Amino acid sequence: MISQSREHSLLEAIAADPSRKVTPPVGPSYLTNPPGTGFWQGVMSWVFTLDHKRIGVMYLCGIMFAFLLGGLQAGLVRFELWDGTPNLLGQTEQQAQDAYNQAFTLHGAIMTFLFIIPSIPAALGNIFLPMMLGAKDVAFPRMNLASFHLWCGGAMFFVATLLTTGLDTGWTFYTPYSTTTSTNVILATMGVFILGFSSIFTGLNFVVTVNTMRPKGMTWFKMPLFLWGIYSTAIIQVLATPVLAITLVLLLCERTMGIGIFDPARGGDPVLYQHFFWFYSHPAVYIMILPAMAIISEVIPVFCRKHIFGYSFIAYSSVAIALLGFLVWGHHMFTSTESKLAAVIFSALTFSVSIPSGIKVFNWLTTMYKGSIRLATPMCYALSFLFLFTIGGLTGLFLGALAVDVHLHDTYFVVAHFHYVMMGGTLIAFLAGVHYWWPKAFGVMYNELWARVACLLVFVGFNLTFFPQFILGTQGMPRRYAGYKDEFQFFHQLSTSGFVVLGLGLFLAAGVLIASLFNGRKAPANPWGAATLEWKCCSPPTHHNFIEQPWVGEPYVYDDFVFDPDEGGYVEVIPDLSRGAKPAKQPAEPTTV
Amino acid sequence: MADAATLEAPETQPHHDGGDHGHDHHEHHPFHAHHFDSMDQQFEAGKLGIWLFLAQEVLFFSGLFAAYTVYRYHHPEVFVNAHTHLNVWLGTLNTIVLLASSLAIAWGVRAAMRNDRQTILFTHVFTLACAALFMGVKTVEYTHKWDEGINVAGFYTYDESAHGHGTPAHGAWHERMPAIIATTLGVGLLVSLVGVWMTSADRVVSGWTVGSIGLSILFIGLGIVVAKCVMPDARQLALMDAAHGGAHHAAHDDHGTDPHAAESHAETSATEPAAVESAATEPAATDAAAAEPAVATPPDPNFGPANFFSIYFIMTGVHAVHIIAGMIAITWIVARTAANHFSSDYYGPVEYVGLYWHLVDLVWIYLFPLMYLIH
Repeated sequence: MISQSREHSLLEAIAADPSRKVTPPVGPSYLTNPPGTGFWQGVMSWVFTLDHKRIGVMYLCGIMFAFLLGGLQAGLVRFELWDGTPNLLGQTEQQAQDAYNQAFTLHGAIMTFLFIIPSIPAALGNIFLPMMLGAKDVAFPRMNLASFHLWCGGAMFFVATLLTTGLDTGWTFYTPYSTTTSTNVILATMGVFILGFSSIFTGLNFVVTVNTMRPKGMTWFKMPLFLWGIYSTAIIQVLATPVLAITLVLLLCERTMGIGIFDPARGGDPVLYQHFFWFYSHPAVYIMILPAMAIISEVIPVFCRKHIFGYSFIAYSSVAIALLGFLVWGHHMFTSTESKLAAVIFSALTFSVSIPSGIKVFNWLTTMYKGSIRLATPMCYALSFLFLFTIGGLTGLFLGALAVDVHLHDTYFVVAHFHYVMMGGTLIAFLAGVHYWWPKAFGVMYNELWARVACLLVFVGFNLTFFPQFILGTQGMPRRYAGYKDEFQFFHQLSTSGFVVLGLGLFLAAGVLIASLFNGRKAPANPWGAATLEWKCCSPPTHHNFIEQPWVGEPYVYDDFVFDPDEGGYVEVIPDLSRGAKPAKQPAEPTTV
Repeated sequence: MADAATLEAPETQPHHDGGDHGHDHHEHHPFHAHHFDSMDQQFEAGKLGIWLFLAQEVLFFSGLFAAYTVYRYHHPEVFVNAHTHLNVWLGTLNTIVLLASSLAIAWGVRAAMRNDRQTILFTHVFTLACAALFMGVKTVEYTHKWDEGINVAGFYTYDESAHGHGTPAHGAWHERMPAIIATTLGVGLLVSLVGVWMTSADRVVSGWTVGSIGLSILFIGLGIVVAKCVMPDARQLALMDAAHGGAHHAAHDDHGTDPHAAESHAETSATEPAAVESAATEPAATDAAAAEPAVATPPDPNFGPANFFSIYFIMTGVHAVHIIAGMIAITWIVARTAANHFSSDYYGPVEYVGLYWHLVDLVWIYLFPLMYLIH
C-alpha cells in the first residue's frame, strides 16, 4: 500500500521534472482501419484478421450473443416454473414437459459450451495474454483465428439444433436416452465436437505463448497471476477436451451405427459414457473457474493498492486445482453403481480440491486487509465474486460428502451449487474483467455510477434467483421437472422474480458499456494504476501492441504509480536518473528461450 | 479432427498482413514470422506446439483404449474368439510397412538438418508410398469383412453357422475389387507420370506434388494387390477352419469358469435379471454350448463379436483417418521441399510432420497386438 506522503512526493517530482513520467506513445488504434479502406475490405480485415485483439473482440461479441441465447432459454425455464402447472411452454402436461426439457437442455448446453468455456480464456485471454507478456501476438496467430472460426461453426450447429427438432437430453447427453431420443442429438454433438477443437487450439496456443514468448526479466514467478490461471486452464483444455471429442465420436457412432459401446441393449455400458463424459466435463468446470480466479487475482491488488498476498501460493494453487481437477470426475457417479471404494476415494479427492481454492480465497482476503480499497466497478464485482464463490465452493463440499450427496443428488441443491460457482463465480469474474479491461480494449471509460448500480442489481438478483434453490433442493425438489407440488411454489416464485432483477442488472451493465463506446470519456493509458504490462501501452493499443518495448517490473508493486490529474489516469514515475540513481528496472529485450 | 497441416500453418508461413513489423535487427529469414523475436524462438514454439498437439492426440485415442480395456476385462472370451477373423499376416505386413515409413521420415528430418534436399524428397515420397500401401491393405481387410457381414454392431449380419469360419472371399466388394485395382493402378501410374513429366519440364513444385498424389494412388492399388495375394484362398481357409474350430471350443470351455465373466454378470444383474440366470446355469450348459459354434453364444447375450468389431472398426478407422491426414501433411512437406523452402536454418515443419507421423505409427504399434495377437 502506498502512503499518502509517498503519493505527494511523486506528484511533486513529476511537477518538477515531467520527463520522469512514463507515458506510452500513442499510435493508431487496432480497432480502426487506415482511412480509405473500403467497406468489404474492412469486413475482411476483421473476419480474417491475425491480430489477437481483434480475434478476442470477435470472441467477445460471439459469446455475448450466445449468452443472450442461453439467457432466453433460462427465462423460458424460470417462467414455466412460476407455478406447478403447464403455463408458458404448452397447454397440456405433455407439451409443457417436452418444451421444458428442450429449454433447460439448450440453456445448459449453450451456456456451457458456447459461453462459459470460451468466455474468459478465448475473449479476455486472447486480448490480454500477449499484452501481459509484452508480446506482439500469440505464438500461432492462424491457429488462433481457426479457433474462432471453429467456434462460429460450432455455434451454427447449435443454432441449427435449435431451429430443427431441438435437443432434450440435458447438456450431458447421457446414454442410453441420447441414442434413442427423436431430437437432434447428432447436430448438437457435432457442434460440441467442433467447439472442443476450438478450445484445444486456444489452449495449445496459450501454453506455447507463455512458455516461449515471455520477455526477458519475466521469470515464471514474475508473471501476472492472470497468466498462471490461464496457463493452468490451457493445460486442462489441451488434455481433457480430446477425451470429450472421442466420447462424442463414439456417441455419434452409437446413434448412427449402433456400435454397442454405450447402449445396454447391445451389450454396452451407459455408465462408461458417464465416466468418459465427466473425465472431460469435470476438469472443464476448472476450465471455467480458474480464469475467473485469475481475473480476481488481478483486480483485487490493483483496487487495494497493495501487493498481492501469497503470490506463489496463488500461482501454485492454480496448478494444483488443474491437476486435482483430473482426479475427481467420479463424484458425478456416486449414485450410478460406483463401487464403495471408488466413491470414497473420489470423495476424498473432491475434498482436496477445496484446499487450493481456500488458499486463493484467504490470500485475496489478506490482500484486502489494510489495503486502501477503492470500490470501483471491477472491485464491486470482485467482492461479489468472493461472496458468491465462497457459498458455491462450500456447498460443493456438501455434495462431495457421500452420505449427503445421496440425499441431494439431482435436486435443486445441485442446480443452486453450480450456478453459484459458474454464474456467481465465472460470470461475475468475467464481468469484473470486462469492466476492468474495457478502457484498455476500447479506449473509453464507462459511467461508473450506473455500472455500479448494475453490479448491485446483478448481485441482488443473483442471490434472489439461486439462494431459494438451495432450500428447494434440501426440501427434495428434483431438478429437470416442469411441474411441482404447491409447497414449492413460494421459493420458485422468489427464484423467478430474482431472474427478472438479474436480467435487468445484466442488460443495464451491457447498456452502460455499449453507451460508453459512443459517449464515454477517452480512457487514459492506465486508469486504475495497475502495474502489469498491458497498461504500459496506449488505450486502445496499436496493431502490434507496444510501440516501445515496456519495462518488465514487479506486477504487483504500486509504489511508483500516482494519479496524475493532467492525464486523467495513473502514471509511472521513474527514478531521477540525473541525480545518479540507478534504474530500478531493465527494459525488456527480445529473448530466446 | 485437425489434420496436421492446420496446426503447422500458423508458425511456418510468412505473414504479410500489411504494415511495418519493425524488424530492425539482423537479416530477415523469409519464413520468420513477425511476432517471434528470432528463428530459434519460432522453432521452439512450433516444437512445443506439436508436442502438445501429440499429447492431445494421445488423449483422443485414450478414450478408445479405455473402452477396449473395459470390455476386454469383462468379456475376454469374446475378444479371443472374435479376433480370429483378423488376418495376422496382413496386420504384420502393415506393421512392417509403417515401421519402414517411420524410419524413412526420421531419415528425412535428419536430411533437412543437413541441407540435403534430395534425401528429404525421396524419404518423404517413400513414407507416402508406405502410407498408401497401408491404406491399400486396410481396404482389403475392411471390404473382406463387410462382404462377410462383419461390421460394427448395428450392421453386423455375420452368421457363423451359415458361413463356417473364414469364408472364401465373395460378395459385392470382392466383385468390385478388380475394377478398383485397375482404376487405382491405372490412374496412379498416369498421374505419377504426369508428375514426372512436369518435374522434367521445370515445374518442379507442382511436379512433385502431382507425382506424390499419383504415387499415393498407385500404392493404394499395389497394397490391394499385395493383400489379395497374402489373403488365403478357399482351400487354405478350409484347412485353417478345421484348426481354428478346435481352438474355439477350448476357448469357450475356459470362460465358463472364468471369474471375471462371473463377476461381470453379478455387476450387471441389477439391470439385466436374465443375466444372473444365465450365469448360474453357465457351467452346466458348457457341454451343450460346446457343441455349437463358439462365437454364437457369448456369456452376456448382448455382448458378442459384433461389439469387438465395433471397437475394431472405430479404433482402426480413427487411426486410418490420421494416416490420411498424415499423407496430406507429408505431401505438403514434399511440395515445400521441392520449392526449396527448407534448410538447416529452417526445417521446423519437416520435424513437426515427422513427429506427428511417428505418433500415428505408435498408435498402430499398440493396435496391432491388441487386435491381431490376442491369446
